[in-house]
Amino acid sequence: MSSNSTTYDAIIVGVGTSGGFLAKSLSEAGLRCLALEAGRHLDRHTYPRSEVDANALLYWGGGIELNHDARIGLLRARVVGGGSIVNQALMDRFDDDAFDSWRETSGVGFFSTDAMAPWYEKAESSICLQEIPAEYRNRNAEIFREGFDNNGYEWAPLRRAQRDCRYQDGNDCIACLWGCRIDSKQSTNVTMVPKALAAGLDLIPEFEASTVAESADGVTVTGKHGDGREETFQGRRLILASGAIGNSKLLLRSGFAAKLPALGNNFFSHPQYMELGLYEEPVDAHRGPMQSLKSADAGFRRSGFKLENVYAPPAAVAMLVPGFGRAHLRHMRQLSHFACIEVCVRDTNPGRIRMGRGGSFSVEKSLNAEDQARRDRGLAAIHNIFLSTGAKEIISGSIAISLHLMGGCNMGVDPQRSVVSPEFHVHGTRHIYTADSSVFPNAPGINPALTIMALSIRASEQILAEAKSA
Amino acid sequence: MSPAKNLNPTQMRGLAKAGDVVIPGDEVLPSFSASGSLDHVDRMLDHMSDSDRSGVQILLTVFRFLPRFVIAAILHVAQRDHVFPGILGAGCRMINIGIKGVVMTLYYSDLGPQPRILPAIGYDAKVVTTGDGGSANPGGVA
Repeated sequence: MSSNSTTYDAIIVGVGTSGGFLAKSLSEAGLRCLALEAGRHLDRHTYPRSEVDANALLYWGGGIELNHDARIGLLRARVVGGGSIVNQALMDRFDDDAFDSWRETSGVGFFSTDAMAPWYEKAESSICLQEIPAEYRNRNAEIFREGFDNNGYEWAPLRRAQRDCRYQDGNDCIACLWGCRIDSKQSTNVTMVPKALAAGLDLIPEFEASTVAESADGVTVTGKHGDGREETFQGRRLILASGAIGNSKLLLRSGFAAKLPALGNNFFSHPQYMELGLYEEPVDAHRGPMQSLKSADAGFRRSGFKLENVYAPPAAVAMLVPGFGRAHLRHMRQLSHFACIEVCVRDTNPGRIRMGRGGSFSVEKSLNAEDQARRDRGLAAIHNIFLSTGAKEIISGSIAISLHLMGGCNMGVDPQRSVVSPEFHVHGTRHIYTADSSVFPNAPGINPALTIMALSIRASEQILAEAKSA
Repeated sequence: MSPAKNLNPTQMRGLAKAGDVVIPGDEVLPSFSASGSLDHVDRMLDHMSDSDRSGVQILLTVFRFLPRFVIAAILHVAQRDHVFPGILGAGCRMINIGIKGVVMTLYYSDLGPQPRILPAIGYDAKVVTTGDGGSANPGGVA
């Protein structure tokens, strides 16, 4: 094993949304930073072009990882840019309900819409945000809107982080789930990482950190390069930015559980259930902007779910359609006649990330009776929408998907019940920070990306202030 | 069928057999084994975790020696996971997701020399890249 002789001011493990923002802020402030990312550093010319390659190259586990009882598929991005490469870039601020719940759970005072407003403003001003013009909405979105109107549900346009999707050219956003080939989507790979590199960031892709350690002077990070070489890096401070599972795994594997009883607990994931409505006329849900509307119904919010106007590429749809053989093929030949809506559950039952033998891990996560009731209320609303808009058949997806992976290193004032302090320090450490979705105290029921950005900007200012005073 | 790095010939025959149970083909669509998907199996298995890959290999080895109707019966049972409690239900779901995941992902990626599966199901998603293929100022704020 080799040891790198450079002592960095900051080592950032994981270059997704949080890691990208922190790398840019700290590098531009003059800190010598190293960013380590397990995935590849791709760009618009090299993003995968097929579903099999996208699953293999952009996600852990070759596409999907399963929870302990294989009821939930966990989608965890593994690429420079992380979730911001593969998501639909939905950017919502959290509401009072989410922050009140966080403040009550964590005891952290700045969890409020007013206190977070300056950080949201900084995040929003650093990316391009747009709504989809009504004339470009596809038929899937129109079915969503008509169904909401027919049933008296409230809907609203989505706000997305995109610059110029050139819908007039006939572009289909679904292709950008594998990375945006025209760099319209505001992933950190186009917004933050280039600026960080220009400011001197050292970025090492295809390096998986395996353990971290803290001493009086700083930190060390040990791991493996893609070619199998082991290497250790030293730094004055460490920023964990590899998400709920990545951060929890790294700290558990490094022996922090003895001092942090809450480590790996309080895992939430917004389980999502996609429903397909089969229509007589073509829907072509894959055309144009894939998502342009959202549910904005106060009753849905109180009931613990939201509905999303979504779709997925063919292999993913094939996995959702139950069965196999000729009956399955008959359904797939009607792919262009499917509309799709998903219910996203604001889950209340905390899961747990645990280490197993040989470095393996498991995610114990299930829906309790309340979560199942939330799911079922959302599914009932979807069925109302499909039936009121003329669907001739409704197909229920055969697996839940989670891509908002949150918690495991929850923020709070009590080290016995939380892992990270309000100052973004891992409790009991002086040099280890985190500000990504792993610090979420519970499930907000709202897309997390913008809040991860806001927290990361706040954390970068905290880290810089501490660096200056050191 | 080209040799694969992650599957031996027995396992490749097991994949072809199970694949044709999952996707037998019809008057428009080719069967799994006739689609050219088998030649690309390493593009998927190379990136699986060791434990997932081992599970798939074991399953395909078993499938090689089972008649098709038995494989179909296993897949039918695997989809009735809700009637089995605890670890049995979880095992059913893992078999279902494992086999369908490999077969469906390879097949609907349409990896043959000429695209024929995606056109047949009406999927034609595209992104028009002009000039150098990107925005002039991708990281900028409007």
